[in-house]
Amino acid sequence: MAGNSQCHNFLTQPLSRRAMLQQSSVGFGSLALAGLLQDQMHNGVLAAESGQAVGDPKLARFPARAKRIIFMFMHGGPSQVDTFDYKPLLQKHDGQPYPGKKPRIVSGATGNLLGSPWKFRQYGESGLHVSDLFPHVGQMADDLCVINSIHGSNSRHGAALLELHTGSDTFVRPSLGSWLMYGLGSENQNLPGFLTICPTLGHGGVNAWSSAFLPAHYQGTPIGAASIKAEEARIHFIENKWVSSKMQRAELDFLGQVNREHLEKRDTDDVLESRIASFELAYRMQNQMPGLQDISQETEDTYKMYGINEEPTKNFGIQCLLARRFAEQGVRFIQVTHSYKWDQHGNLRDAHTKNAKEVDKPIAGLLRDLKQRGLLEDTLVWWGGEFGRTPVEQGNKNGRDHNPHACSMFLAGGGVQGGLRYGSTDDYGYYAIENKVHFHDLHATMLHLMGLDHEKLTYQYAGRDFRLTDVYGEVKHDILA
Amino acid sequence: MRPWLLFIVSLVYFLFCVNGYSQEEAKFDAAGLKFFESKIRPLLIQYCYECHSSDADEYEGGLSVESRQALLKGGDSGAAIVPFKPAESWLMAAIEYSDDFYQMPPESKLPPEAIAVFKKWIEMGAPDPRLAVESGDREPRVIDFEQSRNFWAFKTPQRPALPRVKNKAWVSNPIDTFILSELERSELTPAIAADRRTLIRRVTFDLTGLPPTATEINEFLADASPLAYETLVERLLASPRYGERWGRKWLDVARYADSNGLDENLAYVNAFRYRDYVVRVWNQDLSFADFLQQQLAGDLLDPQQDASPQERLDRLTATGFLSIGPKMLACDDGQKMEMDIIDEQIDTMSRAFMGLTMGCARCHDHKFDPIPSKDYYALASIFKSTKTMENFNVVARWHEYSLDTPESKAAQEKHNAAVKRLDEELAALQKESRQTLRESQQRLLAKYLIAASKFVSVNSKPIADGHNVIGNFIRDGIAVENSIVWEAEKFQRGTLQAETTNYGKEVGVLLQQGFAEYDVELEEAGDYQLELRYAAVDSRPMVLTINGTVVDTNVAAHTTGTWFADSQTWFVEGVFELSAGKNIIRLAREGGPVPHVDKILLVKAAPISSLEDLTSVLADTPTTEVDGLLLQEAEEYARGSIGKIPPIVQNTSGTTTFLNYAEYDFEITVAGNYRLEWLYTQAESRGGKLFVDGRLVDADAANAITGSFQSSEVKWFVGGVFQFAAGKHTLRWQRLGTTPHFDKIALIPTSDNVTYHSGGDHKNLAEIEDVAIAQGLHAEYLRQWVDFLLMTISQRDEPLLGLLLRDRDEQQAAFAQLGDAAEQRLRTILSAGTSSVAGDTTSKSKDDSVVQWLVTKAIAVDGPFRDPKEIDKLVAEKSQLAITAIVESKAKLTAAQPQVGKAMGVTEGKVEDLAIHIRGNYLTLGESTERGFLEVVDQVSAVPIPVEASGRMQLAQWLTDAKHPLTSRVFVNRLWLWHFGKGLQRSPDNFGLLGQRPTNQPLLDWLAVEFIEQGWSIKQMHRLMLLSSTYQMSSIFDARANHVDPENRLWWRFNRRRLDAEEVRDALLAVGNDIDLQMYGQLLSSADRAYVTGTGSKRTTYDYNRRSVYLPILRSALYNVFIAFDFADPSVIQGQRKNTVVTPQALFMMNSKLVQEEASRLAQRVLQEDVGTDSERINVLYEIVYGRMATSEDVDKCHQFLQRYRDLSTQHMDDDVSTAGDLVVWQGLCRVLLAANEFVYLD
Repeated sequence: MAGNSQCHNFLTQPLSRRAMLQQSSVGFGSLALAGLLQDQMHNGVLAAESGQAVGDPKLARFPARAKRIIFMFMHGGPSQVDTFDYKPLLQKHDGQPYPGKKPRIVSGATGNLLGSPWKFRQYGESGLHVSDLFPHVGQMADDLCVINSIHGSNSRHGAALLELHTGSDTFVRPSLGSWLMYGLGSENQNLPGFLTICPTLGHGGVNAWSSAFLPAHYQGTPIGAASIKAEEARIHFIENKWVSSKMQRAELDFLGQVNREHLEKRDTDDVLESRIASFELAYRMQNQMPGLQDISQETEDTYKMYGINEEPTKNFGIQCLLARRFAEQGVRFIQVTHSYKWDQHGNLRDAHTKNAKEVDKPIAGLLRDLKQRGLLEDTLVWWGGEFGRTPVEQGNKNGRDHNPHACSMFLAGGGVQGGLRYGSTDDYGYYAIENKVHFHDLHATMLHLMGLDHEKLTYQYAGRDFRLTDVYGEVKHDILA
Repeated sequence: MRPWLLFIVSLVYFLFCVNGYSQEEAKFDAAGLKFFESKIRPLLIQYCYECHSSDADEYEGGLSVESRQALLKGGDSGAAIVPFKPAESWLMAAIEYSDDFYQMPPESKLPPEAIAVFKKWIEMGAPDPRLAVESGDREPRVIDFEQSRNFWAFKTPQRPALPRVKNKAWVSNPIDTFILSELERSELTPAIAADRRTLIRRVTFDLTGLPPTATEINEFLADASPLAYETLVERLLASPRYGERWGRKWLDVARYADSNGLDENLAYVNAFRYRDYVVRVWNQDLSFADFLQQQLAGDLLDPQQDASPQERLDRLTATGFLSIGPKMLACDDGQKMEMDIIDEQIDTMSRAFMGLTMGCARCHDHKFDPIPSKDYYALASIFKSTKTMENFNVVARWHEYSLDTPESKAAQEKHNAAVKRLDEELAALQKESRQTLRESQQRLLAKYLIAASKFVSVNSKPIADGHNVIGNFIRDGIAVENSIVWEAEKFQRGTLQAETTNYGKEVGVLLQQGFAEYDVELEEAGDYQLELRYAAVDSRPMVLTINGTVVDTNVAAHTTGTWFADSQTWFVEGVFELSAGKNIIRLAREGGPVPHVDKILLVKAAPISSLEDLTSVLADTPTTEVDGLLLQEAEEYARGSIGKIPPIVQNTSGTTTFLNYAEYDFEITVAGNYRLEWLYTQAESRGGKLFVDGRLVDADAANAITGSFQSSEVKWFVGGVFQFAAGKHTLRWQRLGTTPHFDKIALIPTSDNVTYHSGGDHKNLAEIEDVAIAQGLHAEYLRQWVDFLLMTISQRDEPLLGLLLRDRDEQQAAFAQLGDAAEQRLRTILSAGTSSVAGDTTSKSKDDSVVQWLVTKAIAVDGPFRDPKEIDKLVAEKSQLAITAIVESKAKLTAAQPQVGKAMGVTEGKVEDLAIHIRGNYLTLGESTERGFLEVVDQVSAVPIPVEASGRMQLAQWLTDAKHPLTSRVFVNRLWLWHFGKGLQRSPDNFGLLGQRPTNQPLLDWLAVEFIEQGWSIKQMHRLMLLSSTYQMSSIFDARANHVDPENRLWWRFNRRRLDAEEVRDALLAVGNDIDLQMYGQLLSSADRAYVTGTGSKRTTYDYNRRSVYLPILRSALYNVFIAFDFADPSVIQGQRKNTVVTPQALFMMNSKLVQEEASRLAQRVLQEDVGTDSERINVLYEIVYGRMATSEDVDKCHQFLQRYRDLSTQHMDDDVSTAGDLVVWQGLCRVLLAANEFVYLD
């Protein structure tokens, strides 16, 4: 790994108080005072108030390939050797001992090699191998950049999930979405720029979308939670259950009057001004969100494409469709979560089948829909879980253990090559060995696609500059279109 | 092997063992050098130089590959190559990827040819012509401590002289002198003093976190004394609310929370004791030095100095400071977990008390501050020698103290004695009443024997032999004959753990993961139903293998509610084919522990007899007009594994591996015959097995073909006619494979004859009860008698078997005779008052021995006259009443049981000095260290750490030494920032080189010295700060001052501030007259160490009206109102909260239930005021909400709003605008005034 030690460049000019305060109006990561230029909103807003210098994210920017990211998170660990990492030798040597060395740190005991119960087929012009778990996704093969050589550092769900989202498996750090908000802001002034739909509250919960030491308005905004159906998921306090909208409008008009008179007696105070504006912004968001979440006007064809009209695809289908609708509105980072199901230490055959069935069609539907709307060009779609699984068996030859040493994910759209299979694992899919892509490398590459230099996107906290990729990470130029 | 050792070994080896080469004079033959030039050098350049040569910013891992010498020297892990020994060379391990830690090159493994080339090269002795000179060994940065000590923060603060100022009249105390001097130097003047209303609102919120009441305001306004303000400050400092407000500020620094956060989020249910301790000692004005020492080493303070036992417990509780931090509790790498926890402790301790960030030094010397790795590991050794955790398992367990005191122990003992007395009384009473009851029943032996014998028949040979059969079994009151039951923990082979003590009396269960195998000898081959009895909280499906074939991968998958005996439940797992002779039944689970399986049952599953096959008979659609019709949607089964796709039950697995089944529970109220009918469709015959109450009645049920699988083709078919007694019955249908598409199932009362019968040996509870009542017996004892007789059948050599095998009439006669004889003998024994069964020693006849045997059984404590479960309900009424009275007193006593608290905290561990972990990795150890402190602080002469001590005590003493340059400065700066919004040094957690320089260092130093000289009294510092003119300035804007000093670094006015998260919530509750000021305690309704978030856990509620400081603080799941208002996330250390203005705050104010409720209460409060006009009400409202009178403009605009809003609300609502309408309108006004800036900002 290249030596790009982080603890050097530390001080940039603190922003002026005036500039700081102007920007303190932003909320949900992006909401700014009307009329503020977009460029002005991205700096760390209130850091100077706490007496700390901040980095200047503008220094990290260059022309982007993608404007937004949709992350389809499969909570748990989908098995790479049963999905996107075709291993003929594993089939051949089913039941035999693994000839290599098993990792020093493991989460459970494992047995011999277990061939995949699923057949792999080649799809599209590219001939990418996809297992029969994902027949619909397979149809989109020529748009996929499948990375077989992903690896992380931790074999437990909680830690691996945090590392995937924040780059750290040890401490609470800002999540990828928060870094993007800090670096780029949002394109839509009336909506949160970082949304996570039905996120899990377990395995680190809110830390997966928290801004940690970055200012609070860069944190993700959850819509519902994993235990709530996508169609019933809402942002906290987005609905008023007490009065009619006319009455609420009257309240806000009066509030504005009261606040302005209060302000007039106090000369200049940007914070007070910002707070006045924040109510108008909140009101606009409150008006906009229900319409955005109302999918009743979508066509029958769209419903079919996402599998919304049927089980078991309905719930994840709605999540994916919402992701497209938010993407259209310029939301910067949208996460959808397939709740904690991908953890087959046993019952692999049935449960992986069931899990894949729930998401296969919606994933393919989203890709197809984005493509036909021209959105795939500048939307980076990312699919993956927190780790892969072992090629060796558990659970009476019907399960696999956690495996952070090899994991398959795919990217699509937003400046990556389609129909590409990048990186590889050993003969059995136990370890990534060629063109390895650590979570840090993936983060670096995604920031790059979004037009951000991961080494320059820094924020000072606790006496040193922090970045998403810590002191690691390398952009994988080979996968860029 | 330590790196240096490896180095020496390789060197020695090299110098003396290998062909006489010396390192300096290595000569290689031309072939070797050619090999290097043609093969090795290009590989090194291509794959290694980027990071391991002078091309790199620094040598990664300290390794250079630029010369042979450099390779022999190696990097952090020691020599990279050992010539001639590829197997011992790190280089080979790294490029072969055979080690988790080093895999080089990191991106891709080298091609196999290249790996082979390196191997060969090392085998050749690593010929290499490159000179050491080529690699420029760069010297590491050396910390210059002498120079570092000149940095302001590392010099002990000295009390500076007071500066001269012009405007002496403004100066109230020395603080003002320092402030004014700076202002005057910049030609600025301090803002005018705040008016009294502003001041009391400011200082009341500041010290208590609550708004002043109207009475308090008026008292202050009326107090004409020059000491009025001082009196006010003293009153607030003495208020218990002070500790809640200011203790909470310290809790931000201590990153207090009620869960570990991060990965597996477990409740720190006892963390609140640390919080309560903090609130308490802040109220008591404990000196900060003592406070610090207690938090780091409370357990080590001299117990002689404790004023009371409570104080001792407080000191243990105080060490919770080190324990309550965020932790990863699930990490497969326990050593990493331990070092991460230590790191968190060092980070918190050093930033909280010294404002230094130590984290960097975990991996390398700090790049800016004079903190070498050596110092980090010296401190780490102190915490390594401290016990924070009980273990580092997945999931790890933290240490807790028991808070027993002599008083609590005495109370406990007193309680236990009282309980024991009651227990003894109860036992005596029970013994007597039970014995009376038992003897009365024993005298009816003959009746019991005969009645029970009617429920028992032997109609075939027992099915099993040779196994550890424990008897036939009565399940849910239904006798299952011809069954064998055995204890699950008595397996023949297996890796599972047999547990017989912890999960219920006489309940042995299986634990952990692995397998258990049972050998079962059967006389007959055939279909056997397998049933398992188990308890499980989570679904833990097991794999069932019979004779080597996996027959089901999902057995014992139900949940029963607990892991314990109370929820042990029987489940039918399916019917499986077994062979005659030995069968091997195997239960297994990998990847997780098994359910707590208690017993296993096999019962022969064969149709008893079939009178008439009706299964393909079409039926009419059942009509609801039939009385007693029981109709059920097929997919609404009680238990089952058939895919539910309404309206048709259909198998979706499409595989024959699985048993598909559905069970339906029917509650029969009128006993009689019932016709089973079902609605289904299928294109092919998919008949399955039908069971009624666990007995197979039809092996090919629901086999009629309709010609299609279309739901439109469903037809009703007859399934048979059955006789049911009143009560619960269960129908079960199952098939190995795909199933018909079922739609509905019905039971219809009928006068038809039964088509299947259960052979007359299948009796239910109700019948036993009926017989018992008719015979004047107790059903409970009769059931035990049936049970007893069934057991004698399975234990075939028992004396009764012969009788049971006889023909019915003969049997009855024999039983009557036997019963009479036995009863006679038993009565004699009972009358004699002896339990001896000596019997007639002269008679040795066979009959007599049977009588003797029966009497023995009848007297035995585990015999048929054993005490039934609910025996206390059977004894004489008088005894029952007495027993109930005692049981109730005991329940009351138990409810009032004195609680023994626990507190999180640390204690001394195994003393261990750590070596430096190179790059923070415990696998690469460097120089060893000794427990100690920071080298840069040389003005404090450190107390030596005794050999047997962790050193926490000495660390605490070192930190609280008056000469320590940081402790007092860092703390007074915190106090200043908490009062004034900003510190005198503006990066409160970082006093290092990257931190800010103080805006007024003389003042900071003066305060730091004053603090120590005032005995580290926190309240004394409050007085100084609050009574200064600086604090009493208004927040008025001044354009000129703003131009010169826009950030108010010179303090030319008071900083306006927003209420923080707790203040917003508490103030809302306060104006709604809704706040509960009860102090202390835990509101988190969770068991200690229980999961607090994630699926399946109870949601934490924040629906309390207690002060915010007492609400649960869950990491990873913080209360959303707190999140919106910049509460300090306890997962990241934050000495100063952020202060944002964001839309979630506006949404909260507009739409939350809390604001709605408090606005409503406030409106009611105002409407109830005994005032006449709306104008007066508006005045009252302003006084409550803003602490001031409404102006006439305020009154006018409120009037206008009320009018307009009233119109809108009338349109909105159907009912008239009455009192309820008034409430709605005033609520609207209240909500606006609460949302307004004036409520949430303090001038």
